[in-house]
Amino acid sequence: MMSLYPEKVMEHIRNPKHRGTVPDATVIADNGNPSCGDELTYYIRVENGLIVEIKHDARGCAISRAAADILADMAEGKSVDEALRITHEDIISAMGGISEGRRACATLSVDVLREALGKL
Amino acid sequence: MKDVRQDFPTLNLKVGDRPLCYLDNAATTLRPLQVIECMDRFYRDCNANIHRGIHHLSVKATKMYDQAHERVARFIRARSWKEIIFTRNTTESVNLVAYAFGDALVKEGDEIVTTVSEHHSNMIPWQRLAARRRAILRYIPVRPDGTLNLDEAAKIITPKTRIVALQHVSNMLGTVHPVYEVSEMARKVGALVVLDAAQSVPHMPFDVNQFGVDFVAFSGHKMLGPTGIGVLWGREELLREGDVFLTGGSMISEVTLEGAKWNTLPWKYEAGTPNICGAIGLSAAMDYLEDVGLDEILAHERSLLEYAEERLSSLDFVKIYGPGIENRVGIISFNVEGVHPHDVAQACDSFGVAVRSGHHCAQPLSLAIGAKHGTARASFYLYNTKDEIDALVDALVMAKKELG
Repeated sequence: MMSLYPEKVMEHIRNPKHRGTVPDATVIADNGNPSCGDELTYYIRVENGLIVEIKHDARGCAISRAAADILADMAEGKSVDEALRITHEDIISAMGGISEGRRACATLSVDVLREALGKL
Repeated sequence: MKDVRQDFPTLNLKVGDRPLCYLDNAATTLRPLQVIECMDRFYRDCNANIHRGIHHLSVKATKMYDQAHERVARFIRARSWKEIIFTRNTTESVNLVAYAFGDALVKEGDEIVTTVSEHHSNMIPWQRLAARRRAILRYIPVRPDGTLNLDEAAKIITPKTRIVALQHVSNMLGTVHPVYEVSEMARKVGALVVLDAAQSVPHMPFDVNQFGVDFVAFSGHKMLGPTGIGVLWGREELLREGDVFLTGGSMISEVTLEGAKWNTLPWKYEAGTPNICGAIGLSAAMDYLEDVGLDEILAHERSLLEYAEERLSSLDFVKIYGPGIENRVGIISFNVEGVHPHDVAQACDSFGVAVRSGHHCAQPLSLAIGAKHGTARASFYLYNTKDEIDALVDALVMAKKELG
């Protein structure tokens, strides 16, 4: 049977690579979609303007958890400026196609990342 | 019950390669050809604005719109068609009462009572009224199964209470509330009672006089009618005395530069050009429902609910919310263990099954029943089948397997 979500999304749901916390994080930000209860915290360690480590504690639907993990993959190793340029469209397309009704589940990740990096 | 499925063109749709199983009727229902064609005919053959028109088409449209009030009055056993006010929806009906009656009635320090189980449409207007009048809004709490705690209600409804607003049937859980018991408490203290009947009028024989309430609100689109048409029923003596809500054209009888006199009922509460075609479409929907039979529809939904309860409760990873089905109608609200309700709804969609997920516009109730992320909800109507519930069950098994 066909998978419920694209294979890449399923992979990040089953085996998230960035789940956890960063004890010596430079910045932490958390936010949520109050309408559905999705919550996300990013823990980010920044050295010399580079994101060297990023972890999350995503608590919500599968799409929001996968998006948090995929975005962490995209942002890690990038400069703060580059990471700030990641858009809602970028995460949607990186996930390989999700339904229109689930956009907000995915884009929460970008909003929380920007919030975190905005604190620097 | 007679077979109705051929009347609903939407049921022929496919979602991917699967037939559509439409189990989102508490949100909005499908429309039969009889309603669609009636509205099409109106715009082709009668289209005109109503009242005070001399020309042929206006006279025809006016007659149809007037008759729509009579049609609704018969459907809910109102004593007079003057008690039927067309609004946009349940939300607007409740707001009409809150503004036209609440502002005059509620004074500083008075109390308004509603319940934790309400749809936001019967909660926010009272929050706002309380804020405008510096009044206190109190909530009848629910038990963990979503039923109203009447012992608490008896303490909360006091001589300070001016308005009691409650729903007949929960849109999230399908709970049938003991409206008469609550309205009796309200009557004893002289409070007005406002009933949100959006989830009951479409599904069962309904008599506005059986509950001892003063106002009843419901929506056309939840009963095979078009969107954008709703109803407020109120007792005629109250409506005659009440303040106005929206003002402007139609709702006046005489206008000077200094002021205006209000029109007779029901026009006093129908400002501006109304949704003429919507009212006529709703009439056609009521004709259709009565032709099938409200008793038959209620029994059909009962058998679907029994079947759904049996099938879903056989899945050990599914938690069903609300009281037992003897206290529910037409709705089953549930969660799949370890799977967010939005993912459950997505899994259902991949099987062609339309269900709703989230808080169902009743966020405080979600929290009260311990469903922080909301629930997934299947809601039935006259055209649903047991096969569609089987498809729902297949989807839940897949959701658990893939994501649980």
